Amino acid sequence: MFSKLPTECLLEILKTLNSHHNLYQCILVNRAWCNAAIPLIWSDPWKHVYEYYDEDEEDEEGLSELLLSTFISCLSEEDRNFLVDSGVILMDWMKKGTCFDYPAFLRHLNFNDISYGVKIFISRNVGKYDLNLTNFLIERIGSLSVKKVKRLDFLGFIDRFNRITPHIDYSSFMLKILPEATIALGYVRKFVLKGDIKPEFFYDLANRCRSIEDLEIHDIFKDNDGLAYLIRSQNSLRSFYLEATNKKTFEITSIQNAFIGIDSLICLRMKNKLLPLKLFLNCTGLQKLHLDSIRDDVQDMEEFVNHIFPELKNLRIRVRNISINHISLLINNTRGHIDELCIYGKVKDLENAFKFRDSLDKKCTNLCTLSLAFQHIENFIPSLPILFKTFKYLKFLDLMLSVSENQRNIGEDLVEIAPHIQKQLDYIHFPKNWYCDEESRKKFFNILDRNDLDIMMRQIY
Amino acid sequence: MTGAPEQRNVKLTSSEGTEFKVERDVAEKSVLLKNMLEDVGESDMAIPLPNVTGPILQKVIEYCIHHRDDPVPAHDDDTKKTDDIDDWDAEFCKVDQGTLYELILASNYLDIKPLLDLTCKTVANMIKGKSPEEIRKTFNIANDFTPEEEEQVRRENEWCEGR
Repeated sequence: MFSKLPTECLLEILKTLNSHHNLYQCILVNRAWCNAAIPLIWSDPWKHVYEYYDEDEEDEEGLSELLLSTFISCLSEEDRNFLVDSGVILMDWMKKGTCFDYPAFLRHLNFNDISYGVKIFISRNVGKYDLNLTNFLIERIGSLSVKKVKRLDFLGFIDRFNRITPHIDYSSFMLKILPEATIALGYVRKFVLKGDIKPEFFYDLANRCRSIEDLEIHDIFKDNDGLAYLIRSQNSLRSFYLEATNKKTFEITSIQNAFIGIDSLICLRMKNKLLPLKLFLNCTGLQKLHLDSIRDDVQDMEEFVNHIFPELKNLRIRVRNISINHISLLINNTRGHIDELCIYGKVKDLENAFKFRDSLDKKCTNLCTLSLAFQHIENFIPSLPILFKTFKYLKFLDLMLSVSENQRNIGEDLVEIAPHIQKQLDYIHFPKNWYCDEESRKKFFNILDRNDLDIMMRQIY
Repeated sequence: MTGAPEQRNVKLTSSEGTEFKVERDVAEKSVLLKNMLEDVGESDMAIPLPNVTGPILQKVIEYCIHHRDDPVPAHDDDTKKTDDIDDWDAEFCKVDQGTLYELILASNYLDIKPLLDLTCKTVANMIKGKSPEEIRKTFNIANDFTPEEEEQVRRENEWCEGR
């Protein structure tokens, strides 16, 4: 009966499997299942190969070599002959045509994945590093992928795990073959890149690629007018991540100005380089805001916090100096759906700590993650019993003091909060000047009666 | 004080001609019916559902009543999990394969995404961890590959074996 399921229903079932191993079994069931499952496993084949990275490098290299072998069997006979003449050993099955036009199913294309796979293949197959052969194969497989792919969701020029050094910029190579992928590029939703790509590439890409919703820029070290043009060319940018190399200060005026008039962002994350917040005043749908740069202060915070961001749910700020009054205003100007709040920095206005405490109480009762690092943290949060009774959805609580001052025994508080600790809470970190006496500690764990809570605090015996 | 506004009932007719009366918000869990009701407006005419049998329509209505107050499902992010089926749903899906198959077809036809997801997840859980031969046996599927084809497909996709 299931053999007669309409393809769309079979596809829905296979999508829920969400695992290459299970899908691999499905492609061998029969032709209909094979036809349905192949596009799924080939949408992002490298993802599966890299899932092995943390567990077994040898396995991962083996899978990478096998995947490259299939890519090679998709190349033209002329290319395969060149490889054989160059000393590459091809198995018999790799010399005949493939059952499917596999590269046509790609939805994710990251040139640095291809490059990594080719290097592994050459070193394992030929037994030595051959730069010309490696470059030939990267170009042929990259070109094949760009030409064949029909609809691309993700485009990347990024080394997974940052383990490949030096990073190689393949954008200039892709620039030559861009015209062959115009239709596929029109679908790209996510683009991840390193800051070394030259402006010419972005100018060309911007004319073919206008539906990027999620843009991630890693390791930027200088301004780039081409990248600014690409940003301005997008119809609806929803998520933006900017990470600068942490080595020197530099201005990125063009990129900064590209955000003038953009109001569609719901996710804004910046690391080591903070663009002025006045650029984002009109992004009223903002849900996630991460500002992470311990060398810098936030620019235009005062103006920003006087605007309303009702949808804000996820706020992480780690900067040099902060005004707790500003943070409180920002929280107060939301609908109260904040579920993650992580604030670190030197508080300039300690006298306003009570405002932050009030904001937590009024607007943050849905918190799942609370992570704070302030001096005199007691002033910024309610008492522990009230905190645990108020924040019923907490999964992660991290409270830090930057300077250890008066020692404080929280034993009695712990005994009181034990019945209120919810089962989803699995991590607590208390400041290092808080401690618990042994008797209270025993009582606390007796009442708690669970061993899966990771609790970090000093003990005094 | 005013109570909740009175809901008009919607009549649905299964493939055998059996008529079912359901409240409008229950019927509107089906995007197909919701669109039809919006297009047609108020009407006492029964909506014929020639692709759904009475027993299956009964099950579908049971599901929609239980989930009538659920929020509209969020944007499909293609990251579905098969281990988040709640107890009621799991019990609901304890049916024979034929019924499960009919429920998939009906939820697809009526465009009830949460029910389609649930029934698909249930089938996916029956597939997990099985070899191709075991999957064929479970669902009574014939292998129409030639041995050469099967071997070639296996070789070309061997990279996704393991784990």
